[in-house]
Amino acid sequence: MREYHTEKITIGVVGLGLMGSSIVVSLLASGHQVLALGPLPGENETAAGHISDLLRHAERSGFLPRGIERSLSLLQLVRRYEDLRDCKVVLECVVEDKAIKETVYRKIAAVVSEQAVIASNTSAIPISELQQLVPRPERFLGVHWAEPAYATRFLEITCGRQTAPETADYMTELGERWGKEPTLLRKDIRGFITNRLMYAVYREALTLIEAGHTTIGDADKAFKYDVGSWITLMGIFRRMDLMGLKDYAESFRVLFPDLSNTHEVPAVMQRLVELRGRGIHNQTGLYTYSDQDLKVWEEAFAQFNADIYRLAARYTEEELNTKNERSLTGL
Amino acid sequence: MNNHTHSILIIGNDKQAFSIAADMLLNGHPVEIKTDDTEAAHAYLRQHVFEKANDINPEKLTVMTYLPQQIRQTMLIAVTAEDLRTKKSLIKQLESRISPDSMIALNLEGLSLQQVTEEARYPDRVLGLNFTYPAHTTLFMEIVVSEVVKGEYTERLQLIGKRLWKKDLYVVCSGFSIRARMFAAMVREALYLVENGYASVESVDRSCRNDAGYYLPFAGNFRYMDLMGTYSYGVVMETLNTDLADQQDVGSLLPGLLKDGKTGMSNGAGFYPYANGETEAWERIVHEFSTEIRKLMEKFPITFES
Repeated sequence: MREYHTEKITIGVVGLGLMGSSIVVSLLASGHQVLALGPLPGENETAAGHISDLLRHAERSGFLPRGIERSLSLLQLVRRYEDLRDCKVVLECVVEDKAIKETVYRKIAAVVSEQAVIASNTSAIPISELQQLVPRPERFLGVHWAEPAYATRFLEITCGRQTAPETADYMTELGERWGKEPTLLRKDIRGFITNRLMYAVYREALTLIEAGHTTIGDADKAFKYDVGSWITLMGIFRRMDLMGLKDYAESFRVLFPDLSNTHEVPAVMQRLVELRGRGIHNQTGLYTYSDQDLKVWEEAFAQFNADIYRLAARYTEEELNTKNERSLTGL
Repeated sequence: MNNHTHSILIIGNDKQAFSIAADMLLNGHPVEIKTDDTEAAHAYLRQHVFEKANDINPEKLTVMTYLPQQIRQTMLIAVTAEDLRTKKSLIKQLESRISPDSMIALNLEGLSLQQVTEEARYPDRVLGLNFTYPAHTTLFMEIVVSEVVKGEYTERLQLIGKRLWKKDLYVVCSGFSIRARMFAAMVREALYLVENGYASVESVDRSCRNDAGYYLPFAGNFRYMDLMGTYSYGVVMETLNTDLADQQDVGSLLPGLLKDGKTGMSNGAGFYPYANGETEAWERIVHEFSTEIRKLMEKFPITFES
């Protein structure tokens, strides 16, 4: 029988880089005992400092209900894989390298129970591929987080070809207990849900831009001011419900056959791949940037992030249900 | 010319039209709105204009069910259903009543400007004009023109849109809406995932809210790529572009819902069910949130440059 109470579930996190440390804090905030293992030399020591910083940030931002002391008491930094044996779930957050991940999975599987869930935070390697490297692959799946893990509602659970549905359901349930709004990709497919949606938009926009129908800047205005004005509040299906399905259906009937289906990488992107253009970071991107721009953009984005987390927190599914009830009862 | 004293005629029967009327009133225009649903128009404008801004004189609004024989306004904004015949016949109706220097601006989704003006007598003054609901709280404005449209109309609309209505607008010269196509691409992919059992409607919506929802209000797609490290997106495109949905038809989910009468919130069900009062609650939340996200967007004017 699966355990659902977070206080009774010990979770292992292997790989304590930026993402791994952030995930550790999220799990601590949810009341789990966490066994954190940094496989690289000195990784535990660096992570300890970073995790402390993140705990402080989490507490300041209101994401640490138990407080720093109590949350820290739930954490153990370990050096040996054997120390992970009581973990019911182990999250792998090491570098995007198949060979390294394979070693990690082997070491984890050698000590944990056969029912223990092993999950990867990978965003680059298909889950079904990694799954083949895991003993008892039906208990393996992808669990993908967003930064900072303790402040965001995003959690995407991806099933590999061999993942047992029960494993996916269990992780979805746990994800909700972590304060996430988990999404589930039930069958193996390239990319995540959000990736696929956005890359479909990129493809269409870049096709229109290449054909001279619009520009990079205008395409950005189109999406930022339209979709960007409501997507934090509602997804596309909910939005279509709001506006009425009839007209959408009719417009899609006309537009779907006309949309780009190209398999090619658009020339402008191909050029940036060749130049290793990282946008603001090396002033080679889709827009032009001066020397000062990097700092300006980074600061603005950091400030915006702080603001959007606060705003989004007031419009979570939980909050919306509360608001709905209030209006129904007239309170 | 003192544009903001000029009356605007709005033609439309739904909340999209009403929200445009709200926007125009709040920007100082006298507004005449021709609608089949006068009660709903009054209710919307009372709630979103007159109860919110006491300095707007209710006499600036006229709600009517008919079109005057002589339309005195030089700017007409229409919102119609997505139907070619409806749009064509409206243009015909308007053309016989307006003065020579008037412009007709109407919403365009899948239909092109060329299609809707096929039988127009003066296609040079018919433009596409798209807003985002609620129009009075959002910054979106898409002007759709073609080489047939007289430049002075495009300029007039651009000027008033930027200066008075404070929209960060853009113009498309190819005669069709790019917003509609980009959104259609997104929905096509989503429908593919749902109809083929990859993800539920709820999962898709959650992904939208919790991923894109955290950066799109700050940066459009391409600006976001530049913030994250552009070329890695190109690398992903190498394999992902070969895998994205490419279906030509609307599928079965959407038509199925329509066949069952599930046309959305106003009808009690769409992709989701809506219990009593939920639609009104959503409308309230949508307006509330739209105001808040706009304030947040305006806090970062750096991103308004393209």
